[in-house]
Amino acid sequence: MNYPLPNQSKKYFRSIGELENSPEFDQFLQREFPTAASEFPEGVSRRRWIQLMGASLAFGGASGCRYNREQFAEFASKPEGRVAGVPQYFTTNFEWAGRAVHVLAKCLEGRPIKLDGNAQHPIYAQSVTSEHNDGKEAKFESAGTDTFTQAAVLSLYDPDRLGSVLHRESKRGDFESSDDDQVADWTSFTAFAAEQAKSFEASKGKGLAIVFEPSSSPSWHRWLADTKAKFPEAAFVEYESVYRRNQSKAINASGGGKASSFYRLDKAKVIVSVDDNLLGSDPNSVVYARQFAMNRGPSEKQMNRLYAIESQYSITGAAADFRLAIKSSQAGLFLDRLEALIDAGKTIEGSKDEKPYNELIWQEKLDRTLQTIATDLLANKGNSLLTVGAHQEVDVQQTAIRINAKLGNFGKTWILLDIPNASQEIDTIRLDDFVHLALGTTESGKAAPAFKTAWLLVPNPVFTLAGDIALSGALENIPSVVYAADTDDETAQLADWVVPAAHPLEAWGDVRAVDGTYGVGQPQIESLRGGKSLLEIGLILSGATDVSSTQYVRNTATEIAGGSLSDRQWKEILHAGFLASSAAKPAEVKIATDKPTITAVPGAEAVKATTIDLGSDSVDELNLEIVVHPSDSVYDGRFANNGWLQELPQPITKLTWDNAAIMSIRTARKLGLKQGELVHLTQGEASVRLPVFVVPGHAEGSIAINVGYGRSRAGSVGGAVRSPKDTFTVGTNLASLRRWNQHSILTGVSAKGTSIPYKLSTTQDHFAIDDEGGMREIAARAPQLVREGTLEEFSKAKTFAKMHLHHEDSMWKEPAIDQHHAWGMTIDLNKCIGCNACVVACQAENNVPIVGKEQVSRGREMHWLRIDRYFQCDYDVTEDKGDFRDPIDPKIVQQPMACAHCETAPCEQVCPVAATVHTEEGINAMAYNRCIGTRYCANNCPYKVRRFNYFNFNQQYGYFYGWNDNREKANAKLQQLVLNPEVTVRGRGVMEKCTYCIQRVQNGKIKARATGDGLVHDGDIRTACQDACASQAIVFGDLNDKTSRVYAMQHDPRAYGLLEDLNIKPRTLYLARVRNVPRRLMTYDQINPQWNTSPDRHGSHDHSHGETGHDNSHEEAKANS
Amino acid sequence: MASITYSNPREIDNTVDVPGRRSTLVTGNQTFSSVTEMVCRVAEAPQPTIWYVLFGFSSLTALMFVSLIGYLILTGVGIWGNMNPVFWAWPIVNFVFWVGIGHAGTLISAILFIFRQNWRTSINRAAEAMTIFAVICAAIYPGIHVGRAWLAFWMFPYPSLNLWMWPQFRSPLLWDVFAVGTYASVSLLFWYMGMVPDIATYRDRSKTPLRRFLYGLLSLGWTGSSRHWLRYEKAYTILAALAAPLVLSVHTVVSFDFAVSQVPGWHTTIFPPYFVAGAIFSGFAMVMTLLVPVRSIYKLENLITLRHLDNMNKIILATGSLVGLAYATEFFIAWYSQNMFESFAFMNRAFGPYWWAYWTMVSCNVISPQLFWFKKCRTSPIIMVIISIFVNIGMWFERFVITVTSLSRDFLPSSWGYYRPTMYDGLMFFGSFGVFLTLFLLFCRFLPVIAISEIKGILSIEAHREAHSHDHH
Repeated sequence: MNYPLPNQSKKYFRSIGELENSPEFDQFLQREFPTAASEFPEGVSRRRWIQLMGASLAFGGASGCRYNREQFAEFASKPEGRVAGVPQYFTTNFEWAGRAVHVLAKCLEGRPIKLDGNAQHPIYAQSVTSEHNDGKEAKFESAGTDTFTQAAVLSLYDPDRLGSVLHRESKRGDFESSDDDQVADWTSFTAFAAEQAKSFEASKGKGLAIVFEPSSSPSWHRWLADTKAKFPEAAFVEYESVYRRNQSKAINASGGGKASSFYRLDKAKVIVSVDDNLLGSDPNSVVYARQFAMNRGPSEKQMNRLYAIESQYSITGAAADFRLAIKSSQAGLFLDRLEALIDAGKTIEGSKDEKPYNELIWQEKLDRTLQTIATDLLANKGNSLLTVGAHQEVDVQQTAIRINAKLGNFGKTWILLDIPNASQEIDTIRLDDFVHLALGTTESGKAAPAFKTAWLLVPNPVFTLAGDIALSGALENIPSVVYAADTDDETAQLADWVVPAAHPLEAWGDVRAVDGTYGVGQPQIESLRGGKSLLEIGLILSGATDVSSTQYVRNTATEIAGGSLSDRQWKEILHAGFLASSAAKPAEVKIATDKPTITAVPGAEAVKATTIDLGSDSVDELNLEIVVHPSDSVYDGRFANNGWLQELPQPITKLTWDNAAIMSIRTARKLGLKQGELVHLTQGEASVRLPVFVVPGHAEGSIAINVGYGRSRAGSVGGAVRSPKDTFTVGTNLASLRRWNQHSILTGVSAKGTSIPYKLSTTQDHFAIDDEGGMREIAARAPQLVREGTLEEFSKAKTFAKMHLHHEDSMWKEPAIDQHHAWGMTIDLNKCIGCNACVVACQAENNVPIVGKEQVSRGREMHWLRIDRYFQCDYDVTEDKGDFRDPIDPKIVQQPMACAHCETAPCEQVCPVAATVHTEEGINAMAYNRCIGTRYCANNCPYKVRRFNYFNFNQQYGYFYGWNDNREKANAKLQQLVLNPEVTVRGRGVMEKCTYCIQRVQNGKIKARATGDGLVHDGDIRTACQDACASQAIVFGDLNDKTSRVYAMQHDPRAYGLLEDLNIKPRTLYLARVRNVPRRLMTYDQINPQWNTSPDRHGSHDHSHGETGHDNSHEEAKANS
Repeated sequence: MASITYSNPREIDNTVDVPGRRSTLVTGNQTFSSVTEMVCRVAEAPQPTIWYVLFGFSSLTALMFVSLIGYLILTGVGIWGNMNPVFWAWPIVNFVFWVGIGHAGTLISAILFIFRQNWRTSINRAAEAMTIFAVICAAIYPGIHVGRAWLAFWMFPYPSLNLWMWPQFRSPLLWDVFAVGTYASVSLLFWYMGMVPDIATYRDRSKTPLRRFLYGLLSLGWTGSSRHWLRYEKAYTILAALAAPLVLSVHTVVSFDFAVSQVPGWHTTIFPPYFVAGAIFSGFAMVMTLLVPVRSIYKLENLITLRHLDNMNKIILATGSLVGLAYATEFFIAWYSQNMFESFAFMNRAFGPYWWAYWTMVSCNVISPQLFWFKKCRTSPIIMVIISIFVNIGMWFERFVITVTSLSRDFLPSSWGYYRPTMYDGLMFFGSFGVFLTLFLLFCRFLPVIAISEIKGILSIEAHREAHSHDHH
């Protein structure tokens, strides 16, 4: 048996292969989920590491973003301005899967440990909220990031990354043959590439195929264009693992040409998101979340309104003011009906005595929703936006474009840009054509295989590509395959030259932001595992070795800057992270509003009668729909070896380390399926088996699945081959059910239960449909925990969220607070969309370990910050119908929950050794080395935000419950480099929890004393979660500073403390959520809010369903007032 | 050597109450010498086979317990099933269970002594021993339950020179340290002091120099002089007076661990009396479980008579009913308070995911002791042993229900969880029984299981006189 990790870099790393054929090695592979990320080959001491890094810094003049080139020796003399232990910040840009990321990297002793958004970047800076854009408060604007960006640093230190060039002579294929792995080096690869380039130059590139991912990088575009010029006959294959091109195709078809598009949600008063997770999985979700949050003030003048029409409950649906669940395959029909209403141009105002929305039957609900949306859109021409998910077909996209064009939204809320792209003129072929050409299969029969050589410059296509395309067969048919690999993955098995690709933080590169702004990516660290960037590899392959990637990027920058770029200007670009005023010009195009005549669109009446019928009886067992989404955690599988992302609770489901078939309760019941049961989903020939996960509010008859799981060669975290017969994977591989990736919505699916249980690890109890008592209680409590009202209610009574409390005297004396500072936090639930970025940011900042699937199932996850998710339903209606296990029109509310730093903290009272105490500034602090681990504090914490180290999660974790294992200790070395040295790494047996990022507070005070006027100004200190929050929902600051934003927010009428009736006086307050629901779509409860008249939510109702169902447990809802 | 008269206790039914006459507490016309002989035989005669069987089994179990503690300390408390939000689970359940069992001893020896309940004399020694051993089992748990067991001593208020700090005195856990510590030391002292005259008897009857030396050392030079007796009686009374309040205080303080916190289902004022009643309940049940076999194996039926057992069963019936009343009161208050969290906590106990634990508790604790209304059940050793074992099961479940169900669903539904124990939870609970039984068997083997000198004080006048004429004792 063996494990195909390369035996390379003998100088620095002892190969893991030395452990081969030993039982220990076997066990080593079986440890499913080790410490922070994964393994590091034994034998690199921290000291050796520092030496290595020192050398890298010294000799890595090419990476000269940090120090001037002349500082080449060891730090015998300190570089100017550099203080050991003081972090340095550098801007950079990078991209993955075509998404540009603009970050500010925090580097400590030459290693990047934290990424945050570059707040100065125009794409973020343009979104300044109307509430506080008076300049003074501009510095509050942290840019925000998404989860993937936060977790990128962990991938950087992943020891499973490929560490050398591999040359597989006896070609690839199965597991056995990898015995023939030959470790080669860059010299031999370069020689090989030069030879190939020469021969292709002679043949004009005939027989060469270049497979690449769509990119926004101008240098990459330039390289493509250069390569095309050099090898004109070569085939250029553009492959996107998650296909998003339908929209640009539709724009093109509607007369928009090749313009790229970009939304301005901040300019939109009405946003309709049709099957589009605009705030969640959209590549620009960070920008959109910022723009969306800008008008969530709330005030009647500026508050926007978001409608979400979708099948799977997404965070956009949770954030929406109104949500309707329909099948994804019916989105087009929904839009057709909407278009008909817009064309009719009639606004429909409901009558006063209409039934409330929740009392309607399904057809009426649908009609009323369509009418209301149409009316709203018509009333906000030019101020509205209707978007459609990227996975919807071109004709659906076109309908959406037409509607927007009719509403006059183009150029206002929907911007079309003319971003220059040097590679635009290259004709690309699709991957399926590439496969056919490579195999030599044509429609007429057999032809000669077309390719001699393929360059795979795209991450792991063999895994991400669907099951219906024989890419692996095609690759076997090509004599020479070069693959730029992150790890020795599924695709690398089929390539004869595998070259290590650098992490984006290790390489030079450039990007265009979504608005066209040009930015340069500079390496933050010398390549750790000897990889090279795609651009570098591309330059080697195309024989352009005379120019370094640095120079190449600089040449591109010079070109974009208008032909000349001085050293000073170049440094300015590097410093700022972007080239000022390089944003693209709006495209001069005209969008057609007429329907294409060729496609017959079903009439609105016909649609109403036949297809859109989603009543409870419409689940057709043999004609289900499957919607394939990329995973919110591991995307298309490329982040499978990233423990932070694997353990990140997926939004809504809170599932970790797994994918599942997500469906509604009624659908599951109809199909005879139970939560956690394995189900066979079959469409035609293809079939997969995966566990059922029920979520209320999912569209009936629709099943959502996430790809990216079930990798067999991701690494020690995300899946590996242990022996020829034993492969461990995380989750289920859905390849066989995926179609050639232009189709994400599959219909005609049948489902068959197996009654085999499967253990799913969730961080929040899954929706326990077998426990009505619990569900009833949650339904009663949720409105008090996450308070919300409608905009109408808010404008009548601003203090609707305040509860009438009997303020009793406290037994406890509040700890004395320093006169200078009183730190506090507020979280605006009206802005929070539950995107999880703060959760990973906290993990990265505070060295929070991961614990693995088994420990998560034991409830031992360590996240200091979590996002609580509650389903809300109309209590009375549900009470009448008597089933809390299947709520009607459930709404989701989310609440980020971390230590609230109570003034009279219940945890402090009960600690026998005074390990958790108040600081003078009001922070509830943990003295880790005083803690003996009685866990009493955690019991007494009503928020359950304390986390206990049941094992040495940060050191080792593995088989036999973490029995001390020397190998594990050695392996922890590389991943330890990701740790933040400013935060203690907690050992076994101690309690830990949110500290309000006390290290940042201290740094802020030190900085103020050392360099400022001695005073900490509002906004100088930001917590990690605040920095990561794209929607600016989290605000931290000094409550003693009456001018601070946090002070103002704590005195907002919407402010409330969670469980404040316990009299524990939390420092973290929440601002109640305000839903801007149109009157006609309000439920009875929303029309007749109870908050401001009586403290109890379900008091004296006397409407039609008020009389029944007020039993004891209903009374309980009143009790807590 | 005086002869021992064994009479079938069934023939002399001393459980009948005849008005105007005191029932005898020692049957079979015992004399001073026959009492001495009967008790000393337990330690002097070769042990019956069953002793060796039990000892072999229990000492191996105790060894397993010790090894598991070693594994626990090397690995981490994660080997148990504790989780978020059930941060306290079996180890704390076991702690409260053992502390509760440790209650009967001091109640019998101190409170019944002060109230001049003479029937205590036959059972107090064994009950006190049981108390000590139960407290030892109990004290192990908080020590190993903490995440860093090697630092558990930080809970003691010792003058630490490098920290310059005391423990945090507002924590009920610290109160526990004092309460259990005081209880253990006073109980130990009381037990040992009461044993001094009897150990002297053992010393006098020793046949080997080693035994004579060791018993001599332990008997503190007791000669049986009047002066010794005078001081002994005074000291014993004073210690009894000191120990009496501890009966109430220990479990009151243990209940504060729960009652002082704010977890719904823990935060209730009924806990102190309810815990004390429960503790006496479980303690008496454990005494019953142990003494019925001991009495039969060592042929002590004339000293531990049916009347003693009958009396104890009456106490079990009374405290069992008290516990039942407490359960009902909790439910009433949960409804009456109209506190949402409180109401839910109790509904959840009875009808939530842990309903099985709750109803096990109710049937064992409230229903099974009701059989003791029938005299037949109160005087049948088999039935009373079975019921007492049920009571102990029920009392363990009571602590489980309080600790685990309350924690598993508290304020925020997002943090609700379902606790499952691991193999280690089970093995370590089992192992603590090994420690307990090992110590008790050693006690039977080497120390007087019945207070010889005190029994002699309550022999009837006739027997007394007869004894004088024969033995000049």
